[in-house]
Amino acid sequence: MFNKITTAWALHRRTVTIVTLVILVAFPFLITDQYIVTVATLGGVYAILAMSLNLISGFMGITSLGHAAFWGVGAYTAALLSTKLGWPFILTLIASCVVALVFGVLLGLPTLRLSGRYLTIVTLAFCEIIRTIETNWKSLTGGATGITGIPKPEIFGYVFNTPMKIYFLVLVLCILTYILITRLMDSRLGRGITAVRDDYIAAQAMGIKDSRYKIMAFVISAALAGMAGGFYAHYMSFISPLSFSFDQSTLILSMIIIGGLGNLTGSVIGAVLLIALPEVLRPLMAWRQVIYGALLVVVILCKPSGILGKVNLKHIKQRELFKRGKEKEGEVKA
Amino acid sequence: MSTPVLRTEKVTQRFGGLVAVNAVDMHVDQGEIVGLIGPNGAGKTTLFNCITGQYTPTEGKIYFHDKDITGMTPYQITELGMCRTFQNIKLFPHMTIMENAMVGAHTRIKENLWDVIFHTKAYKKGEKQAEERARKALELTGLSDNPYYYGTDLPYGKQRRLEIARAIASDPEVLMFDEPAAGMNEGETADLTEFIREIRGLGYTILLIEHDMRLVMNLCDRIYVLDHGTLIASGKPEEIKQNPLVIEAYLGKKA
Amino acid sequence: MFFQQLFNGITIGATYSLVAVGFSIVYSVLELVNFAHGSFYVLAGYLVLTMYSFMALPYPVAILASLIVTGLFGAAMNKFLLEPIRKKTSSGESVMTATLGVSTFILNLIMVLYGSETKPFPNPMNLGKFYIGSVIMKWNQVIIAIAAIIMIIVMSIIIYKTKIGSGMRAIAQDVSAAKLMGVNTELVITFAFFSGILCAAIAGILVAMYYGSVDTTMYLGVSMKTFAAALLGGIGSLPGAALGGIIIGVLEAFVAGYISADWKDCIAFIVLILVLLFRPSGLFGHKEIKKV
Repeated sequence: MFNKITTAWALHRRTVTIVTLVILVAFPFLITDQYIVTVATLGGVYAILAMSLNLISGFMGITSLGHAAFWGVGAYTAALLSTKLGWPFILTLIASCVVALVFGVLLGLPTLRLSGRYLTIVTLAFCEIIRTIETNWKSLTGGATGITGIPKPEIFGYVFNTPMKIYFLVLVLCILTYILITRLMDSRLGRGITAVRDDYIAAQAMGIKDSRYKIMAFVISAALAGMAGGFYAHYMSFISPLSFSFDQSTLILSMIIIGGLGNLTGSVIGAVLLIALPEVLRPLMAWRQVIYGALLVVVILCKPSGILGKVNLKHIKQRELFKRGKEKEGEVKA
Repeated sequence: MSTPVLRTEKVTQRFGGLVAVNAVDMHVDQGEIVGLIGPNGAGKTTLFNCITGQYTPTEGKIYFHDKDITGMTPYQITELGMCRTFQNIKLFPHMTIMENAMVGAHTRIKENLWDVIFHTKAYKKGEKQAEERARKALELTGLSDNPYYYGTDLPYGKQRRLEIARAIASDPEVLMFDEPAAGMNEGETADLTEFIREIRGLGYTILLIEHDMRLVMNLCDRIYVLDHGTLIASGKPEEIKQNPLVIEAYLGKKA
Repeated sequence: MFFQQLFNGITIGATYSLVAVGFSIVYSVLELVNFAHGSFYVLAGYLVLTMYSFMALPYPVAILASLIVTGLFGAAMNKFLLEPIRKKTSSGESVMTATLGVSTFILNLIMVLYGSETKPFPNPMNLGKFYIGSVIMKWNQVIIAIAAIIMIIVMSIIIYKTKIGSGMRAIAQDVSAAKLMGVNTELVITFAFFSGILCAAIAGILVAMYYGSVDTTMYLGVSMKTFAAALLGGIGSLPGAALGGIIIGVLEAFVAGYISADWKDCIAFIVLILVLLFRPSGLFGHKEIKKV
């Protein structure tokens, strides 16, 4: 059953994509409750974070618990540049990417040679250090109270001041992130990344400079998280260190594991599920987080490699088309 | 006489106090199939790993043509034109047969981040080249039947062929096989022998480590014998068969 | 001042050591970063609170019962949740995320049942304090440090001298080889969870006694510092984890004393990163040899 669905999906991928896009565009017009649109926007922010984390943790195989730190660095960059220096949204968004990228280089260059779990804990350590700095460098970051009064996104005079406008902005950023990572993975560089994850010794023997691929994936992932942060700061108009704590790192990691490591669509589904779930469970009040924890375990128990963890649509499509091509050839000969 | 394609000069590898490879001199000429044999623990794989760049030899030099490649990384060595396979097959499990072979072409195509993101001409050209090279290598190794299944789903013998296809896609001058017949039955080994001979016919130079005596004796032009890290004999298969030192160190154990 | 900070640091460091040793035991058999480890540390304290204050059990009985229940809880988590997941997938990330789910579950359940505010923790043994020079030493602190150190020694004996301990070490080196040698791997792994989480539970109760209170926010700080302590020493090395805990405890005390309490919580991580830059496998870890 699952296989039939994924095969159909693989063969009609363009149609599925177009239908999904139509739904995503129509969605805010069909919903009267603006709160839901706001939640969907938050879902979009997390979708970007999850996709970018998937690049490093899913495709590159380095489990990172420091993603929230890059997100936070991006958010603080945008918040400070816009409130203190009055930079426009586009520039702060780019600066968020660049600063997060620089932090990615600073963390990645010395630590990416560490082995598996050591690296995971180092990313966690990085997350905590950044959060402590955000909390304690009060003259710059405003301490635990954070930064307020960040202007709404504005592009060439057009202000994104309603939930719907902001929703479309995040939708565009999501699509750009999706395209960027898809294109990256569908290339010589992407094959290099997959090869290093699958077997770095064999990858080296095929002429792949493994350290270079690790740092590349790490830095791109950090920059995208920074972009999500820059957007988030303008969208929320206030930020505090609490938003970028270790809990957030684990939340984003849970999203990509539930969606399936190494599957971008899975990451988006994971993000939407884990953002929607607490909202759906809201009537349960205090029990909400308890059930959330239990559900997380149950989902992994039922589907340990995530919803789309073992699905590669490109491979399925190539395989099916080849099979059909062969069959046709056979018919012609007969 | 032309210079050998590959030459080692007094290569020594120590691990702590243990001397795994001791001052080995050997060379491989253009178009040869050279075998490296020896009993278990003789240091064959260690020497192999020195040549392919996995280890940096403690002493000695390794030359590819006239270029000193001692201490180069595996990826630099592959780029220069030497590519290896592994004793315990190392395919990329999340890649299709085709993609595994395309990884082989990695060093021979050019695509940078810009090309990849904006799908420039260079990207399209690179992908086309990679696919062509992979397709050729797969045809050569008899693997072109639906190459979109996962490489690790192939039967054992074919996985070995895929590893060789991947190496061939890197367009090497020298192919290096680490126990290619390991884990194969007699029929498969015979196929493999025939197959390696075909490859040599295409102009590749081959260095292989092997346990299977029949394959080595049937296939190799020259053989080097290692025992306890030291080279104890070298020569044509017939000479090696007659050599009392070899019989004592290697074949003698069975008698 | 210096010796006072040193003494305080060693006391709290000893409890970190104990948690880190427990974490290392589980890590070494499964290479699993068990995020639920710290939540058991918190759970044990609340269980004592329940049994002593609400069920009116005698204090030692409450402590003992709490330890056993927490340890069994940990073993059950492995047996009924993690083992089935391991059987279905080889992805360590999935198992790790499941432990995240468990810890979310436990901590929030505690918050629902007890409220999120800090609860006073009963300690009938108020033994007063004494002085060595100008250093104030509370008997409680001394008992905590000694108890933690004794537990670490007991754990080391179990791991290095008993049959089940040699099973653990065998699994740590090579699971399939251990299986072939007749080690009942699943049983040994479950025992590793029991004993590892028991360590966390003991430390949790000791710390609750030390501060005279329990709350759920203890969790985050302690579990993350524990990871740092275990890595600092070199994962899989029990003496390493123990020393890592002490080092972090002492450093924190000094940072809090001489610099600012604000920066105390991240010194562990800064030191960790610095150490790993120069010794990628920690202070006492073995270098992994790559095989071709």
